Amino acid sequence: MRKKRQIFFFLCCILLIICSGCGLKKEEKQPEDSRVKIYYTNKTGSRLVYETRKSPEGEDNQTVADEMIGWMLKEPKNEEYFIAIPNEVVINNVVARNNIVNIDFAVGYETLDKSKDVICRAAIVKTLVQIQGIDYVEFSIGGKTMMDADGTPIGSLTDDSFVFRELPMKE
Amino acid sequence: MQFVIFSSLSLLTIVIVFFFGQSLENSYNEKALDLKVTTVENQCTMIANQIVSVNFLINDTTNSVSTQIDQLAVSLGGRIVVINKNYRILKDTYTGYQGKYFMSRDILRIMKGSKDKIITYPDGYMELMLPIVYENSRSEEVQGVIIATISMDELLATKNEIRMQRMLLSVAFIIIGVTLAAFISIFLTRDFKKVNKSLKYIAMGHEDELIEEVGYTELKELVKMFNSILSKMQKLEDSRQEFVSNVSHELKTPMTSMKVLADSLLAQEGMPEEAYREFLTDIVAEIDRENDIITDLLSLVKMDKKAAKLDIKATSVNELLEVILKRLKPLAQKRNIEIIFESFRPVTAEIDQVKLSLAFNNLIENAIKYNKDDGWIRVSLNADHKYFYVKVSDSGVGIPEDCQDQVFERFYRVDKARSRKTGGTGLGLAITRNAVLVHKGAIKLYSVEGEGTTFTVRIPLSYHA
Repeated sequence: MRKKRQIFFFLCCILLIICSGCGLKKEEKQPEDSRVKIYYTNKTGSRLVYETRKSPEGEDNQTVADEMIGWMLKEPKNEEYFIAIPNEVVINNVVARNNIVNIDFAVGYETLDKSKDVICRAAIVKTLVQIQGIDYVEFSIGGKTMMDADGTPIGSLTDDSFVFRELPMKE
Repeated sequence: MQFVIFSSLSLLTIVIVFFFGQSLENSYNEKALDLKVTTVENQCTMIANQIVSVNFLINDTTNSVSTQIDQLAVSLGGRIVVINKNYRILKDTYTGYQGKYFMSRDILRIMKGSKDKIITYPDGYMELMLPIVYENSRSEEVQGVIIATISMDELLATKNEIRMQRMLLSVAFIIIGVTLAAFISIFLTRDFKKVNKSLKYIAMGHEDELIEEVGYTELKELVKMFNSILSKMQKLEDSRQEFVSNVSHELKTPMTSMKVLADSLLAQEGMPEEAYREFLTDIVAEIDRENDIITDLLSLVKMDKKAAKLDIKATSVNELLEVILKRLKPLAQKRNIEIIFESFRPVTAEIDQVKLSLAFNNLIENAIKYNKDDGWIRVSLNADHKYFYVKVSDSGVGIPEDCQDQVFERFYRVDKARSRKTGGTGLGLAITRNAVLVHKGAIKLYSVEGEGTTFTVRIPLSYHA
């Protein structure tokens, strides 16, 4: 009788191990983008911070982009975080086409303080490029492409257009 | 003491070398850093002005500003980044971040108008952030920022080199210092050791030797004092030996006389009764004399004891003197010597009656003994608020000048022959002086040979132990 018990116990252990193995495998199969980061800024507006949310439900990129912009405009949970898009900024429309999203600001955006401008755009870009299929974000003011100080167009921006951390000396 | 000198000097050396070296090193490092910062800042300012002069068109091929920036980055051994007022990187000599946006707390602060440079030290680098402004502009607006990230490796290497050198030098100096300390300590204590050796030798039993005078002033003084004490001790020893031999002699003399008298008495047979009576009288006289000597010796010994018990009482000195004079009057009258007692005031003092009685008795007795026939003795008593004074003057034979210092010595006689005749033990003045000294008083003598002698005694009115 003793031996039978031992064998039974041994088989149970093996079963458990197989099951847990399955469990692990199952976890790996889950998609990476089940949560997204919604970007905000700190009190002084000197860097970006984020809060995570469940992925948006939308089927197409346009819907998702609209939804995520919406979330950006909602007050963050953390008291130390603030909405990256300044109050005075008016977004005319958000157009997702192919792998680019175009954000059109209302005229008057150019009067915005430069530091707030950078933070605002950075937050939008970093938030939207998380969408599957979206690689770039373009900006325009009143329909016209946004220009840099030297008169050249700014063009499409992506995640690594913004190097906000310390400039690394080592690659 | 040698160890104390050695260790304190060594410690001093170590402390000085350490702190001095440390502060030098720190000061140097500070200066080196300041210099580096200033150099970088100046170079960056020059470049900033260049950037402004081409209106921030760094990447335009018509000017060489871009190349200049590259060259500067190489010469400084670091990386230079130029940002415009839109937070866009116009030039990056290292990672090629041109066109990207950069933001940090420090950059924000500069852009917002703080015209000061900001220097931080991340991880072995120095990061200098300088605002780019229009040179002669009145407007406060910052046009951009130039960031220079310079490696501190060179500086660090120098720092380490300096530290190494400092360590080596410190060790060298400490070794020198400690060696010097050893020498100094040996040198300074050398003389002490010599003195010590001499002392040991003397203490072993060679009491008649003196210590060699070596060493510097203080030590020499010490040795001189010590030698004088040793000499005094030797003198004391000599006088003790002399005393002992004197005592034996003085005690023996009456004995010898007695023996001679007794022997001669026994030698003869059939002598008349008067002869026996005569001899025995002489023998009795000698016995009395011996008795006197012994009594005096004993009183002297008693007084010699340092813990001499004084029976201090308030005594009328007048009365004391009167009693003595009354007792000695018959002795004076025998030779028709006049005694005058002068008392200027009644004197009461805290004294040991027995001892001072003895003292004054001896003085007055001497005055009688060594006086001429029909001579005079004057005893005077006076006092002030502190002391009382007793003067005994006589018209006697006086004491020759060269003997005056010695009269107070035990058994000392100026004229041995005369003293024998008048009797006495030779201890009288010694006893007197002792008694006076034990009362913390003083005794002086003035004498002219052939004319007379005056003894002055001064005793404090109140006795302080």
